[in-house]
Amino acid sequence: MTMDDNPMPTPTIVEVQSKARTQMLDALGADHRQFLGRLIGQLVGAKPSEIGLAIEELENVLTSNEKRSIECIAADLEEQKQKIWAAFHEWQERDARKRFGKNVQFSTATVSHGKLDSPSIIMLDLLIHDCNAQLNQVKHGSSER
Amino acid sequence: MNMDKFPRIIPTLIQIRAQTYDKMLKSLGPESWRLLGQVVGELAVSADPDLEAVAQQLEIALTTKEKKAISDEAADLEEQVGQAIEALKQAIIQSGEPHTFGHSPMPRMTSESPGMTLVSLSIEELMINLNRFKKRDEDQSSHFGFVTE
Repeated sequence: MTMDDNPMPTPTIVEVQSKARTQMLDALGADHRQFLGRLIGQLVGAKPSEIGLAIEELENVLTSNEKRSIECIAADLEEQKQKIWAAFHEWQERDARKRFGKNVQFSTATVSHGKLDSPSIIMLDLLIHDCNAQLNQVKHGSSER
Repeated sequence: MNMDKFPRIIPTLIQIRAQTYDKMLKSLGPESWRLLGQVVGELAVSADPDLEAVAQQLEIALTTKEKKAISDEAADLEEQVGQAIEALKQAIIQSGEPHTFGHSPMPRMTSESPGMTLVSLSIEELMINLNRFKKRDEDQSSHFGFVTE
């Protein structure tokens, strides 16, 4: 069987995350975007406990409008991610049936749908995960789902 | 390797990597450490992020001594990771569990520039620490398994 018989669904989670990242950064004022960059830079080599302080600092800096925008984008992203996982699961089942026949049995394990955190955590999480997705792309030449 | 066995050593691998990263950071002078933070922060909020350009920027700024220290630590890390995987394989063989060891080449840090190694580890450690802060497990992303009859 070739991938052409059963193409993987698109978009991928990495793609929608990347789009959400851009939307979130666009929702910030230029000064807050710079502040966020400095804050992430300060977290390089920091202990996990210091992350809490940085998040608190960011939460105090973001305006109500910025927080609302981040939450809206995050809610939309979460919905898209759930649809993508559902489509991916269906694709995997089709793929496995083609490979192993109709009697293949499926088990679904640890599907966690992320709860929405505070806007600061959402923002940091998305930015750092997106950096990591870029890293995977550069190192392995492929993207995560 | 049976991928369902692999998670057993993930905590060990994470610990080894964190220790190595800590040693790498300690080998940096204050200017290089400051620049590392700056480039990672800028990368995270850039409208047009370019990881390789950032790694190159850092590479140019690192001293010869810093580069050597990072390369040495990267080689040491690869060796330790290789030993941990080999120990897991041996444990699986000795336990008599059914096993198949496929050949899946590990990404080699020693083949990349010290600048890229530093940026890579910084991003990965940031992500792990943030996940810890959020009290997440190693990998909470959904995954689906299947078995054949």
